[in-house]
Amino acid sequence: MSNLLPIEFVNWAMRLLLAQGVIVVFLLLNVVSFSLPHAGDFKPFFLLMAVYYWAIYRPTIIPVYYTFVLGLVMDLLSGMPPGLTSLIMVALQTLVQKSRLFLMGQPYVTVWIGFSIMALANAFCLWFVLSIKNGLMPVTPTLVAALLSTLLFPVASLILLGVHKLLPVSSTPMRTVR
Amino acid sequence: MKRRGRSKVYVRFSPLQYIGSGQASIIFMLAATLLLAVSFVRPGMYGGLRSSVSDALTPVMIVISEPFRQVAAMMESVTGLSELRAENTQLRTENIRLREWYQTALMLESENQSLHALLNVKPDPLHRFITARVIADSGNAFVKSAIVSAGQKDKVLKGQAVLSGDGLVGRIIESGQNSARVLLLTDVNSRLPVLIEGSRQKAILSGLNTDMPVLKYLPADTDIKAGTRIITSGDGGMFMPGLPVGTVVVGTDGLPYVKPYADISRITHVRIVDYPEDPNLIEGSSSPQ
Repeated sequence: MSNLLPIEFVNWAMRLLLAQGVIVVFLLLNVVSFSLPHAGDFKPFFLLMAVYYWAIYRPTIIPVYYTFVLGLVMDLLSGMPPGLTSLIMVALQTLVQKSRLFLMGQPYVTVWIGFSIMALANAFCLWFVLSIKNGLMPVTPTLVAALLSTLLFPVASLILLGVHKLLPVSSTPMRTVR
Repeated sequence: MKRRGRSKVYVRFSPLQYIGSGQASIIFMLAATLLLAVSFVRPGMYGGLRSSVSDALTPVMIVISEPFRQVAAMMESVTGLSELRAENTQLRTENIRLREWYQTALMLESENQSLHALLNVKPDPLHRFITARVIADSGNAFVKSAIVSAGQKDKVLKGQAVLSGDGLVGRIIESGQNSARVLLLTDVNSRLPVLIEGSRQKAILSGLNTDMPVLKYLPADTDIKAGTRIITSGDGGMFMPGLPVGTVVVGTDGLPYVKPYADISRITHVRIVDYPEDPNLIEGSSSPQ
Protein backbone atom coordinates (compact mmCIF):
# COMPACT_ATOMS: atom_id res chain seq x y z
CA MET A 1 0.00 0.00 0.00
CA SER A 2 2.51 2.58 1.02
CA ASN A 3 6.25 2.61 0.81
CA LEU A 4 6.63 4.43 4.08
CA LEU A 5 8.60 2.58 6.67
CA PRO A 6 6.33 0.93 9.25
CA ILE A 7 7.55 3.22 11.98
CA GLU A 8 6.79 6.28 9.86
CA PHE A 9 3.38 4.94 9.06
CA VAL A 10 2.63 4.41 12.72
CA ASN A 11 3.87 7.91 13.45
CA TRP A 12 1.63 9.34 10.74
CA ALA A 13 -1.35 7.34 11.95
CA MET A 14 -0.88 8.28 15.60
CA ARG A 15 -0.68 11.96 14.80
CA LEU A 16 -3.79 11.84 12.66
CA LEU A 17 -5.59 9.84 15.33
CA LEU A 18 -4.66 12.48 17.87
CA ALA A 19 -6.36 15.15 15.80
CA GLN A 20 -9.46 13.02 15.32
CA GLY A 21 -9.42 12.06 18.98
CA VAL A 22 -9.39 15.71 19.99
CA ILE A 23 -12.42 16.34 17.78
CA VAL A 24 -14.26 13.44 19.41
CA VAL A 25 -13.31 14.76 22.86
CA PHE A 26 -14.80 18.12 21.90
CA LEU A 27 -17.97 16.35 20.78
CA LEU A 28 -18.22 14.49 24.05
CA LEU A 29 -17.55 17.63 26.08
CA ASN A 30 -20.69 18.96 24.50
CA VAL A 31 -22.67 16.17 26.12
CA VAL A 32 -20.82 15.11 29.25
CA SER A 33 -22.24 16.17 32.59
CA PHE A 34 -20.27 18.99 34.17
CA SER A 35 -21.67 18.36 37.64
CA LEU A 36 -22.68 22.01 37.91
CA PRO A 37 -26.28 23.09 38.38
CA HIS A 38 -27.97 24.03 35.12
CA ALA A 39 -24.77 23.19 33.24
CA GLY A 40 -26.67 21.62 30.39
CA ASP A 41 -28.62 24.77 29.65
CA PHE A 42 -25.63 27.00 28.97
CA LYS A 43 -23.12 24.57 27.59
CA PRO A 44 -20.82 26.12 24.97
CA PHE A 45 -20.71 24.69 21.47
CA PHE A 46 -17.43 22.78 21.61
CA LEU A 47 -17.98 20.76 18.47
CA LEU A 48 -18.61 23.93 16.53
CA MET A 49 -15.27 25.33 17.68
CA ALA A 50 -13.42 22.26 16.44
CA VAL A 51 -15.22 22.12 13.10
CA TYR A 52 -14.75 25.85 12.53
CA TYR A 53 -11.03 25.76 13.29
CA TRP A 54 -10.29 22.79 11.08
CA ALA A 55 -12.51 24.08 8.29
CA ILE A 56 -10.35 27.18 8.07
CA TYR A 57 -6.90 25.76 8.60
CA ARG A 58 -7.00 22.12 7.56
CA PRO A 59 -10.23 21.03 5.89
CA THR A 60 -8.77 17.78 4.58
CA ILE A 61 -8.94 16.12 7.95
CA ILE A 62 -12.64 16.75 8.32
CA PRO A 63 -14.25 15.71 5.03
CA VAL A 64 -17.92 16.53 4.81
CA TYR A 65 -19.13 12.99 5.43
CA TYR A 66 -17.15 12.94 8.68
CA THR A 67 -18.80 16.16 9.89
CA PHE A 68 -22.16 14.67 8.97
CA VAL A 69 -21.49 11.58 11.08
CA LEU A 70 -20.17 13.67 13.98
CA GLY A 71 -23.29 15.83 13.92
CA LEU A 72 -25.46 12.74 13.80
CA VAL A 73 -23.67 11.18 16.79
CA MET A 74 -24.08 14.38 18.74
CA ASP A 75 -27.80 14.54 17.94
CA LEU A 76 -28.27 10.95 19.02
CA LEU A 77 -26.42 11.52 22.29
CA SER A 78 -28.09 14.77 23.22
CA GLY A 79 -31.68 13.84 22.47
CA MET A 80 -32.19 16.34 19.68
CA PRO A 81 -33.87 15.30 16.43
CA PRO A 82 -31.23 13.42 14.44
CA GLY A 83 -29.96 15.37 11.50
CA LEU A 84 -30.29 18.83 13.03
CA THR A 85 -26.71 19.30 14.19
CA SER A 86 -25.47 17.48 11.07
CA LEU A 87 -27.30 19.97 8.88
CA ILE A 88 -26.01 22.98 10.79
CA MET A 89 -22.43 21.70 10.95
CA VAL A 90 -22.25 20.77 7.27
CA ALA A 91 -23.78 24.08 6.26
CA LEU A 92 -21.41 26.08 8.45
CA GLN A 93 -18.42 24.05 7.32
CA THR A 94 -19.26 24.65 3.67
CA LEU A 95 -19.72 28.35 4.35
CA VAL A 96 -16.39 28.61 6.13
CA GLN A 97 -14.54 26.54 3.56
CA LYS A 98 -15.77 28.76 0.79
CA SER A 99 -14.38 31.80 2.59
CA ARG A 100 -11.10 30.13 3.53
CA LEU A 101 -9.06 32.30 1.23
CA PHE A 102 -10.30 35.35 3.05
CA LEU A 103 -10.16 33.98 6.57
CA MET A 104 -6.79 32.33 6.51
CA GLY A 105 -4.83 35.49 6.12
CA GLN A 106 -6.73 37.47 8.71
CA PRO A 107 -5.58 38.38 12.19
CA TYR A 108 -6.95 36.26 14.98
CA VAL A 109 -9.63 38.76 15.98
CA THR A 110 -11.37 38.44 12.62
CA VAL A 111 -11.40 34.67 12.94
CA TRP A 112 -12.84 35.08 16.42
CA ILE A 113 -15.57 37.41 15.21
CA GLY A 114 -16.33 34.93 12.43
CA PHE A 115 -16.75 32.25 15.07
CA SER A 116 -19.10 34.38 17.12
CA ILE A 117 -21.29 34.86 14.05
CA MET A 118 -21.27 31.09 13.51
CA ALA A 119 -22.16 30.48 17.15
CA LEU A 120 -25.07 32.91 16.94
CA ALA A 121 -26.25 31.28 13.73
CA ASN A 122 -26.05 27.87 15.40
CA ALA A 123 -28.01 29.14 18.41
CA PHE A 124 -30.75 30.59 16.22
CA CYS A 125 -31.07 27.52 14.02
CA LEU A 126 -31.36 25.24 17.05
CA TRP A 127 -33.89 27.51 18.69
CA PHE A 128 -35.90 27.85 15.49
CA VAL A 129 -36.17 24.16 14.64
CA LEU A 130 -36.81 23.04 18.20
CA SER A 131 -39.46 25.73 18.67
CA ILE A 132 -41.24 24.42 15.60
CA LYS A 133 -41.10 20.94 17.03
CA ASN A 134 -41.99 21.66 20.66
CA GLY A 135 -43.70 25.03 20.76
CA LEU A 136 -42.10 28.41 21.35
CA MET A 137 -39.20 28.27 23.78
CA PRO A 138 -37.12 31.00 25.41
CA VAL A 139 -34.14 31.93 23.33
CA THR A 140 -32.01 33.35 26.16
CA PRO A 141 -30.27 30.15 27.36
CA THR A 142 -28.95 29.38 23.87
CA LEU A 143 -27.79 32.94 23.41
CA VAL A 144 -25.90 32.69 26.70
CA ALA A 145 -24.41 29.42 25.45
CA ALA A 146 -23.33 31.17 22.24
CA LEU A 147 -21.72 33.93 24.31
CA LEU A 148 -19.88 31.39 26.44
CA SER A 149 -18.70 29.59 23.30
CA THR A 150 -17.32 32.85 21.94
CA LEU A 151 -15.51 33.52 25.20
CA LEU A 152 -14.06 30.02 25.32
CA PHE A 153 -13.01 29.96 21.67
CA PRO A 154 -9.46 31.28 22.32
CA VAL A 155 -8.79 28.46 24.79
CA ALA A 156 -10.13 25.86 22.38
CA SER A 157 -8.19 27.29 19.48
CA LEU A 158 -5.00 27.16 21.54
CA ILE A 159 -5.53 23.44 22.09
CA LEU A 160 -6.36 22.93 18.43
CA LEU A 161 -3.31 24.95 17.41
CA GLY A 162 -1.15 22.64 19.48
CA VAL A 163 -2.65 19.63 17.77
CA HIS A 164 -2.27 21.34 14.41
CA LYS A 165 1.44 21.71 14.92
CA LEU A 166 1.71 18.01 15.61
CA LEU A 167 -0.21 17.02 12.51
CA PRO A 168 1.69 15.36 9.69
CA VAL A 169 2.13 17.35 6.52
CA SER A 170 -0.26 15.27 4.46
CA SER A 171 -3.54 13.72 5.52
CA THR A 172 -3.01 10.90 3.10
CA PRO A 173 0.11 8.76 3.36
CA MET A 174 2.31 9.44 0.38
CA ARG A 175 3.90 6.72 -1.59
CA THR A 176 7.36 7.97 -2.06
CA VAL A 177 9.85 6.39 -4.42
CA ARG A 178 13.28 7.33 -3.31
CA MET B 1 -1.76 11.22 -10.79
CA LYS B 2 1.68 10.72 -12.13
CA ARG B 3 4.08 13.47 -12.87
CA ARG B 4 6.53 12.79 -15.60
CA GLY B 5 10.18 13.52 -15.22
CA ARG B 6 10.09 13.40 -11.45
CA SER B 7 11.27 10.67 -9.19
CA LYS B 8 8.34 10.90 -6.77
CA VAL B 9 4.93 9.41 -7.36
CA TYR B 10 2.00 10.66 -5.33
CA VAL B 11 -1.01 8.43 -4.98
CA ARG B 12 -4.22 9.72 -3.48
CA PHE B 13 -6.36 7.52 -1.33
CA SER B 14 -9.66 9.17 -0.77
CA PRO B 15 -11.96 9.16 -3.80
CA LEU B 16 -14.32 11.74 -2.32
CA GLN B 17 -11.61 14.36 -2.56
CA TYR B 18 -12.29 14.51 -6.28
CA ILE B 19 -15.89 15.53 -5.71
CA GLY B 20 -14.91 18.75 -4.06
CA SER B 21 -16.66 20.27 -1.14
CA GLY B 22 -19.51 21.86 -3.04
CA GLN B 23 -21.49 18.92 -4.33
CA ALA B 24 -20.77 16.64 -1.39
CA SER B 25 -22.02 19.29 1.02
CA ILE B 26 -25.31 19.62 -0.82
CA ILE B 27 -25.81 15.86 -0.78
CA PHE B 28 -25.11 15.65 2.95
CA MET B 29 -27.27 18.64 3.76
CA LEU B 30 -30.13 17.00 1.88
CA ALA B 31 -29.51 13.75 3.72
CA ALA B 32 -29.53 15.59 7.05
CA THR B 33 -32.78 17.35 6.16
CA LEU B 34 -34.29 14.01 5.24
CA LEU B 35 -33.29 12.51 8.58
CA LEU B 36 -34.68 15.54 10.35
CA ALA B 37 -37.99 15.28 8.49
CA VAL B 38 -38.24 11.58 9.37
CA SER B 39 -37.61 12.36 13.03
CA PHE B 40 -40.42 14.92 13.00
CA VAL B 41 -42.88 12.45 11.52
CA ARG B 42 -41.80 9.32 13.40
CA PRO B 43 -40.04 10.43 16.57
CA GLY B 44 -39.57 6.95 17.97
CA MET B 45 -37.65 5.55 15.06
CA TYR B 46 -34.15 6.25 16.26
CA GLY B 47 -34.42 4.64 19.66
CA GLY B 48 -32.29 1.60 18.87
CA LEU B 49 -29.61 3.62 17.14
CA ARG B 50 -29.53 6.09 20.00
CA SER B 51 -28.97 3.40 22.59
CA SER B 52 -26.23 1.75 20.52
CA VAL B 53 -24.40 5.05 20.14
CA SER B 54 -24.65 5.91 23.81
CA ASP B 55 -23.58 2.35 24.73
CA ALA B 56 -20.53 2.65 22.52
CA LEU B 57 -19.50 6.02 23.94
CA THR B 58 -20.40 5.42 27.58
CA PRO B 59 -16.93 4.30 28.75
CA VAL B 60 -15.32 7.38 27.22
CA MET B 61 -17.97 9.65 28.69
CA ILE B 62 -17.46 8.15 32.13
CA VAL B 63 -13.75 8.88 31.85
CA ILE B 64 -14.30 12.45 30.67
CA SER B 65 -16.92 13.28 33.30
CA GLU B 66 -14.69 12.05 36.13
CA PRO B 67 -12.52 15.21 36.47
CA PHE B 68 -15.62 17.42 36.54
CA ARG B 69 -17.14 15.25 39.19
CA GLN B 70 -14.00 15.35 41.31
CA VAL B 71 -13.81 19.12 41.05
CA ALA B 72 -17.46 19.50 42.02
CA ALA B 73 -17.01 17.14 44.98
CA MET B 74 -13.90 19.01 46.10
CA MET B 75 -15.70 22.34 45.89
CA GLU B 76 -18.54 20.96 47.92
CA SER B 77 -16.28 19.64 50.65
CA VAL B 78 -14.38 22.89 51.08
CA THR B 79 -16.70 24.92 53.28
CA GLY B 80 -15.99 27.31 56.11
CA LEU B 81 -16.06 26.24 59.73
CA SER B 82 -19.16 28.27 60.61
CA GLU B 83 -21.08 26.75 57.76
CA LEU B 84 -20.04 23.31 58.93
CA ARG B 85 -21.27 24.05 62.44
CA ALA B 86 -24.61 25.34 61.17
CA GLU B 87 -25.01 22.30 58.97
CA ASN B 88 -24.16 20.06 61.91
CA THR B 89 -26.84 21.61 64.12
CA GLN B 90 -29.40 21.36 61.37
CA LEU B 91 -28.56 17.71 60.74
CA ARG B 92 -28.87 16.88 64.42
CA THR B 93 -32.38 18.35 64.74
CA GLU B 94 -33.38 16.65 61.50
CA ASN B 95 -32.05 13.36 62.81
CA ILE B 96 -34.14 13.59 65.99
CA ARG B 97 -37.24 14.38 63.96
CA LEU B 98 -36.59 11.52 61.54
CA ARG B 99 -36.08 9.02 64.36
CA GLU B 100 -39.53 9.85 65.69
CA TRP B 101 -40.97 9.39 62.21
CA TYR B 102 -39.13 6.08 61.88
CA GLN B 103 -40.94 4.67 64.91
CA THR B 104 -44.27 5.94 63.59
CA ALA B 105 -43.52 4.41 60.19
CA LEU B 106 -42.77 0.99 61.71
CA MET B 107 -46.02 1.09 63.64
CA LEU B 108 -48.00 2.14 60.58
CA GLU B 109 -46.38 -0.55 58.49
CA SER B 110 -47.33 -3.34 60.84
CA GLU B 111 -50.87 -1.95 61.13
CA ASN B 112 -51.02 -1.76 57.33
CA GLN B 113 -49.89 -5.37 56.98
CA SER B 114 -52.45 -6.64 59.44
CA LEU B 115 -55.23 -4.68 57.72
CA HIS B 116 -54.10 -6.01 54.33
CA ALA B 117 -54.20 -9.55 55.67
CA LEU B 118 -57.62 -8.97 57.22
CA LEU B 119 -59.11 -7.60 53.99
CA ASN B 120 -57.26 -10.16 51.84
CA VAL B 121 -55.71 -7.42 49.71
CA LYS B 122 -53.19 -8.56 47.10
CA PRO B 123 -49.85 -6.97 48.06
CA ASP B 124 -47.97 -4.75 45.64
CA PRO B 125 -45.13 -6.59 43.96
CA LEU B 126 -41.76 -6.06 45.54
CA HIS B 127 -39.49 -3.52 44.00
CA ARG B 128 -35.80 -2.83 44.21
CA PHE B 129 -33.59 0.11 43.42
CA ILE B 130 -30.75 0.30 40.94
CA THR B 131 -28.31 3.10 41.63
CA ALA B 132 -26.57 4.76 38.72
CA ARG B 133 -24.50 7.82 38.03
CA VAL B 134 -25.47 10.55 35.59
CA ILE B 135 -22.73 10.78 32.99
CA ALA B 136 -24.20 13.11 30.39
CA ASP B 137 -26.84 15.74 30.21
CA SER B 138 -28.48 16.90 27.05
CA GLY B 139 -26.01 19.68 26.29
CA ASN B 140 -28.61 22.18 25.15
CA ALA B 141 -31.40 24.21 26.67
CA PHE B 142 -34.26 22.66 24.73
CA VAL B 143 -34.14 19.00 25.65
CA LYS B 144 -34.03 17.96 29.29
CA SER B 145 -32.70 14.48 29.38
CA ALA B 146 -29.75 12.70 30.91
CA ILE B 147 -27.74 9.54 30.29
CA VAL B 148 -27.06 7.25 33.22
CA SER B 149 -24.44 4.56 33.45
CA ALA B 150 -26.71 1.55 33.98
CA GLY B 151 -28.42 -0.42 31.25
CA GLN B 152 -30.15 -3.65 30.42
CA LYS B 153 -27.40 -5.69 31.95
CA ASP B 154 -28.32 -4.05 35.29
CA LYS B 155 -32.00 -4.74 34.58
CA VAL B 156 -32.84 -1.12 33.72
CA LEU B 157 -35.75 -1.18 31.28
CA LYS B 158 -37.74 1.39 29.39
CA GLY B 159 -40.48 3.04 31.41
CA GLN B 160 -38.99 2.70 34.87
CA ALA B 161 -39.22 5.59 37.30
CA VAL B 162 -36.08 7.47 38.22
CA LEU B 163 -35.62 9.01 41.67
CA SER B 164 -32.92 11.27 42.96
CA GLY B 165 -32.49 12.78 46.37
CA ASP B 166 -35.95 13.42 47.69
CA GLY B 167 -38.24 12.68 44.80
CA LEU B 168 -39.00 11.66 41.27
CA VAL B 169 -36.92 13.21 38.50
CA GLY B 170 -38.13 11.42 35.40
CA ARG B 171 -38.36 8.10 33.66
CA ILE B 172 -36.26 5.90 31.44
CA ILE B 173 -37.13 6.29 27.77
CA GLU B 174 -34.43 4.16 26.17
CA SER B 175 -32.08 1.63 27.60
CA GLY B 176 -29.06 0.10 25.93
CA GLN B 177 -26.75 -2.55 27.26
CA ASN B 178 -24.78 -0.40 29.67
CA SER B 179 -26.39 3.03 29.47
CA ALA B 180 -29.89 4.41 29.60
CA ARG B 181 -31.52 7.71 28.77
CA VAL B 182 -33.73 9.49 31.32
CA LEU B 183 -36.38 12.00 30.26
CA LEU B 184 -36.55 14.51 33.10
CA LEU B 185 -39.96 15.64 34.24
CA THR B 186 -39.19 19.24 33.31
CA ASP B 187 -38.87 18.39 29.61
CA VAL B 188 -41.56 19.61 27.24
CA ASN B 189 -42.43 16.08 26.17
CA SER B 190 -42.75 14.63 29.65
CA ARG B 191 -46.20 13.59 30.86
CA LEU B 192 -46.55 11.77 34.17
CA PRO B 193 -49.78 10.53 35.78
CA VAL B 194 -49.91 11.90 39.33
CA LEU B 195 -52.23 12.01 42.29
CA ILE B 196 -52.96 14.95 44.59
CA GLU B 197 -52.59 13.57 48.04
CA GLY B 198 -55.38 15.11 50.02
CA SER B 199 -58.24 14.93 47.57
CA ARG B 200 -57.01 11.81 45.66
CA GLN B 201 -57.64 13.82 42.49
CA LYS B 202 -55.79 12.55 39.43
CA ALA B 203 -53.91 14.83 37.07
CA ILE B 204 -51.11 14.78 34.51
CA LEU B 205 -47.82 16.49 35.28
CA SER B 206 -46.48 18.02 32.09
CA GLY B 207 -43.16 19.73 31.74
CA LEU B 208 -42.68 23.17 30.24
CA ASN B 209 -38.89 23.27 29.86
CA THR B 210 -38.76 25.47 32.98
CA ASP B 211 -37.94 24.55 36.56
CA MET B 212 -41.55 23.87 37.52
CA PRO B 213 -43.88 21.63 35.52
CA VAL B 214 -47.62 22.23 35.52
CA LEU B 215 -50.58 20.06 36.45
CA LYS B 216 -52.92 19.54 33.56
CA TYR B 217 -56.33 17.93 32.95
CA LEU B 218 -57.74 18.84 36.31
CA PRO B 219 -61.50 19.50 36.48
CA ALA B 220 -62.24 23.21 36.21
CA ASP B 221 -63.56 23.70 39.70
CA THR B 222 -60.79 21.93 41.54
CA ASP B 223 -59.39 23.95 44.37
CA ILE B 224 -55.74 23.17 44.98
CA LYS B 225 -53.98 24.74 47.89
CA ALA B 226 -50.33 25.62 47.73
CA GLY B 227 -48.18 23.12 49.57
CA THR B 228 -50.26 20.05 48.70
CA ARG B 229 -48.15 16.96 48.15
CA ILE B 230 -48.12 15.36 44.71
CA ILE B 231 -47.30 11.67 44.33
CA THR B 232 -47.31 9.28 41.39
CA SER B 233 -50.62 7.58 40.80
CA GLY B 234 -49.36 4.44 39.09
CA ASP B 235 -51.92 4.84 36.31
CA GLY B 236 -50.96 2.99 33.17
CA GLY B 237 -49.16 0.42 35.26
CA MET B 238 -45.70 1.69 34.50
CA PHE B 239 -44.72 3.52 37.63
CA MET B 240 -44.88 2.45 41.20
CA PRO B 241 -47.70 4.36 42.88
CA GLY B 242 -46.86 6.57 45.81
CA LEU B 243 -43.49 7.95 44.73
CA PRO B 244 -43.04 11.54 45.95
CA VAL B 245 -42.98 14.12 43.19
CA GLY B 246 -43.29 17.61 44.66
CA THR B 247 -45.49 20.26 46.20
CA VAL B 248 -48.00 22.56 44.56
CA VAL B 249 -47.11 26.19 43.99
CA VAL B 250 -49.81 28.43 42.58
CA GLY B 251 -48.33 30.56 39.83
CA THR B 252 -49.09 34.20 39.07
CA ASP B 253 -51.40 33.06 36.30
CA GLY B 254 -53.39 30.91 38.71
CA LEU B 255 -52.21 27.60 37.27
CA PRO B 256 -51.03 24.88 39.64
CA TYR B 257 -47.31 24.42 39.20
CA VAL B 258 -45.36 21.74 40.98
CA LYS B 259 -42.05 22.38 42.67
CA PRO B 260 -40.29 19.01 42.57
CA TYR B 261 -38.80 17.65 45.76
CA ALA B 262 -35.65 16.65 43.94
CA ASP B 263 -33.25 19.33 42.76
CA ILE B 264 -33.46 18.54 39.07
CA SER B 265 -30.78 20.96 37.97
CA ARG B 266 -28.08 19.16 39.90
CA ILE B 267 -28.64 15.44 39.81
CA THR B 268 -25.51 13.35 40.01
CA HIS B 269 -26.73 9.96 41.24
CA VAL B 270 -30.11 8.43 40.60
CA ARG B 271 -32.06 5.45 41.87
CA ILE B 272 -34.06 3.61 39.27
CA VAL B 273 -37.11 1.79 40.58
CA ASP B 274 -37.25 -1.74 39.25
CA TYR B 275 -40.99 -2.23 39.60
CA PRO B 276 -42.29 -5.15 37.58
CA GLU B 277 -44.86 -4.20 34.99
CA ASP B 278 -48.42 -5.44 35.24
CA PRO B 279 -48.47 -8.62 33.10
CA ASN B 280 -51.99 -7.81 31.91
CA LEU B 281 -50.86 -4.68 30.07
CA ILE B 282 -49.96 -4.98 26.39
CA GLU B 283 -47.99 -2.53 24.31
CA GLY B 284 -50.28 -0.25 22.33
CA SER B 285 -49.67 0.31 18.63
CA SER B 286 -47.96 3.60 17.87
CA SER B 287 -48.84 3.94 14.18
CA PRO B 288 -51.03 6.95 13.44
CA GLN B 289 -54.29 6.14 11.68
